[in-house]
Amino acid sequence: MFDAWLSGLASVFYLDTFYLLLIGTAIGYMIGFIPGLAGAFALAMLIPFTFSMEPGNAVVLLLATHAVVMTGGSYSAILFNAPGTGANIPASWEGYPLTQKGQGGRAIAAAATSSAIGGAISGIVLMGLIPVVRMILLSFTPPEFFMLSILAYSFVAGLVGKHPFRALVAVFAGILLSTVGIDPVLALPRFSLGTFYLWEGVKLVPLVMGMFAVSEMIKLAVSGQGIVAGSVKGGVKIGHDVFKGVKETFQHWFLVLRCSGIASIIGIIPGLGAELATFMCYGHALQTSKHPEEFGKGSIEGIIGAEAGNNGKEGGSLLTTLAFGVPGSSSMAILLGFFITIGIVPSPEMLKQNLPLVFSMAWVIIIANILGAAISIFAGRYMAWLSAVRAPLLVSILLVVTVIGGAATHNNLGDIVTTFFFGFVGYQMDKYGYSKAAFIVGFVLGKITEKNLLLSLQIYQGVGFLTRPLTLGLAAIAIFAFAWPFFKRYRDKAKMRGGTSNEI
Amino acid sequence: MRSEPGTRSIQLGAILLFGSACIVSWSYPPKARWIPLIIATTGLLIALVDFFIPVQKKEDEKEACNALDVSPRRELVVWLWIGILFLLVVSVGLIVGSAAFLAIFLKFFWKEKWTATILVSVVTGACIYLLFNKAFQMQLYRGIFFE
Amino acid sequence: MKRSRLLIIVLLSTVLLTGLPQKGLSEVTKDYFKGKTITFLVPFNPGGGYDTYARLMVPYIKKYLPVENVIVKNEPAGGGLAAANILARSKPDGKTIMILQATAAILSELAEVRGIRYKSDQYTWLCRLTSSPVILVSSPKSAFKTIDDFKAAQKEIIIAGIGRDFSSMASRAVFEAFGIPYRTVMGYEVSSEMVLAIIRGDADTSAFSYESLKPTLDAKEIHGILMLGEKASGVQIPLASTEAERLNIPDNKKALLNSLSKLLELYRSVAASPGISPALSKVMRDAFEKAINDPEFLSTAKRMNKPVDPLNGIETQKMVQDAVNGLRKDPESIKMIKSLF
Repeated sequence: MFDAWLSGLASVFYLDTFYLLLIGTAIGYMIGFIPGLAGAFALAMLIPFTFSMEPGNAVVLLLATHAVVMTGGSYSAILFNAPGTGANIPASWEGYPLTQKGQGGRAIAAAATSSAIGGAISGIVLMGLIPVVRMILLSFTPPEFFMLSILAYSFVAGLVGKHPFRALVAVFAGILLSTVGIDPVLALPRFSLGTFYLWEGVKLVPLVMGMFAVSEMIKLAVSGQGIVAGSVKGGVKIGHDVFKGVKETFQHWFLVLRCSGIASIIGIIPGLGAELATFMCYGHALQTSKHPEEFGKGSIEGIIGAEAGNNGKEGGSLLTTLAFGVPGSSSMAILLGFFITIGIVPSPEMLKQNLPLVFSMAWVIIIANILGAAISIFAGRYMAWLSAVRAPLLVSILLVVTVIGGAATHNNLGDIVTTFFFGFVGYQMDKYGYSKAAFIVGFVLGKITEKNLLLSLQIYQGVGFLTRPLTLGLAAIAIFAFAWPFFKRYRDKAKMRGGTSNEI
Repeated sequence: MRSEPGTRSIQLGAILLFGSACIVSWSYPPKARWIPLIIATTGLLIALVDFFIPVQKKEDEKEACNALDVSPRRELVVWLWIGILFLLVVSVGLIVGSAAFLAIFLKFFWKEKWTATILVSVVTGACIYLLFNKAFQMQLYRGIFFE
Repeated sequence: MKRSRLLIIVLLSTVLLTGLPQKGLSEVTKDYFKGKTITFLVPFNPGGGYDTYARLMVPYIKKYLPVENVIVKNEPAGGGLAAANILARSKPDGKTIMILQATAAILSELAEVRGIRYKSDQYTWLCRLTSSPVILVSSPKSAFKTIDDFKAAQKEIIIAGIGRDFSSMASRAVFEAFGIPYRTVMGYEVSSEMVLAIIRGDADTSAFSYESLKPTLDAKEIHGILMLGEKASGVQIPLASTEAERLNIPDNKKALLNSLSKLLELYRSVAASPGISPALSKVMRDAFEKAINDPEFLSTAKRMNKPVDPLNGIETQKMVQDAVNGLRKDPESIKMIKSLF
């Protein structure tokens, strides 16, 4: 196997392949940077160009593009509070306040570095799990997926903000929204308001762009402020602190490792999505942080965790797609269609017979991620000044760009309406303290929970599925994860009391 | 800052949302109704609790409400502009609508000079056009009259 | 006569003579499409099989029809229903065409699914791209190797399905025809998930298009039990019609299976708006026939593992007409189709 590993690496460095890797990285980065345009868009756009290419080269181009979309997205999230993709939302929450304090370069560098490391680890995971992927996929059935989604809720329970009840309302509103669409079992349209558009459910991209990007732009317009608060403009050389960001990421190496691990698991399970990976890792970073009070105001740990998360899921996603042809996301579905087209038909057999190819795919992901980080870091030094552009111009342009971003993927009137509607909703939710994070998590998890619950009930004709060993194991972890924050708070309070009584 | 009446209306809105979802789910055939119903009912209960928990002090409410430090009038004006953007984009399309919006928004809301306004609007429109129509080879939404 | 009246007559005649719509004339010139843009509707998301076929066709459509541009528009709303409705109400000027899963479209129409506002036989069918038999499968590890095994099973057979998808519908049609009790597990999102479920044992069977499942069959990951549609060369799987004869299935149920098999011959086809003039239809059909028989198109499609089994527009239209008329005359089959939806 070692020679397959080596030949996989070597094949990436052929001149024309490497050239395409570079182009793919540049394209993916740019598309990620534009708010609203994400991996699936980039791939769909490139596919027609691949018709006339050598299949091997086309794979490199597509994979490289896809691997760095979220690195590019973190850039606009941090500088402009306009997340390039839904998975960059936490980066905007933590990075943007840092930009406002003039520390944009540091934030970008941290995001870039953790993205690169996360992505690299995912490539290694892809390579390493090949022998066991079939076993994993055959053991994880709908009951386990259901329990995993329950577990996922616990990870993000820490994101509720100051008002648990309102966060709960938000979660359930998100779950309710996720039921809009066709009933998975009976194929009856639910809450479709009489339109075909809603048969597919509310689309994620316009929802996220509206709720997180457009609403932020509206806030800026209302407040009339620029991005970098006036007082910082003068003396600080924006972008100067880039290497500090890199260093800090390495200082938090264990966090990066843990988040990449969590993300890899999420990647392997089809349907969970990059947004969920990011939020779970962000939530994890919050729960394990020694400075939780910084979160929301510019915590570098939050950025590191979140960005390691969104790039860290790539390898796992690709593995599942290649091993069984089960695409975990719309980008993977496009890649899958492409693979079949060039004769790579997913199956464990195919993996075993084509090890060098699969390894070279992993290498493409790793190298593209590193290159993407390099783009961020070098551009960071020079582009951070963008955020100091005058407020009226910047805010207006961004407003327009985020609206287009929300609508561009499918070019539908319905998407435009969705973007504006959730722009309004997002603004009001922020104003009255209803957690948008909870809402989105409810929305994304709702679909997965429902689908797997219904499948489990049908397969086992009842709740018998809960007695499966793996399911029980996951349930135990979920209970622990939910209970932990309360336990921790109780223990901390007890410690404080104990401490004061010991003080002399 | 109108936090109290604002908060109340949002809470009522949540109750209304879940309540109507309950009613609509009930109208679905028996097998299809119970998942949306469970979610809507739970949401309704939580929304009711949120509504009826007495808001302790004005400070608590102020903390809950992250309203920006601006007058309600300013908010309303911005929302009107957003409405204009929506109407423009829906009627004449994403590119033309955005460019047109930029021109009038910059001039009449931010009070920029005409030169800056026209420049930004034309350049942004051109960039978007080049990016989507030429580089991506895709047509952005062209407005309700052209589709 | 008065000058004003003469003027009116002259004006009216001029308008009448020059303002006549071209399609009303018996001659549609070859330059009809010059400077025009055709919208090619695809009822699925980009990157999928149908989308790829459409995009593959674009350069060849442009080659044989002097059209300015062909733009692919993805319109997956309503599982393809919205696109079919859009085509049905589009203007008969040849500027709107669509690639369809014709089998599902016709069946949904006959089943009177809510929201349908098209009539498949009224479309102007331009060509057929592929026919695809559908196979009923089982896991190689299970005890089910033939349809007799299903019949002999002591418990209900579990069929996996997506929702209102063709796979589970076809499976249920077969089981109804052969009188085998079953229950369904619905809610999967893609066919590969169902294949996994069958391999794992969560479900016992489902039906898939042969072309998409061939690699899995070859790898012996899945076992083919029955095939609906015309026999593909070199395939060992028994045909549904043969098994139906062997097991003496009642005639009305046999008729349903036969209709389904015939409909599968239309699997992927391209249609244009209803009501297009004969002259314009001829121009378009000729161009499409040349396009899908173009050797370069065929070799590129083959290279991309997208088989093409071309059939020209007139024959395709006839096939659709025959299928629809045949089924309409058979209220029992229609009843069964409705129950399957």
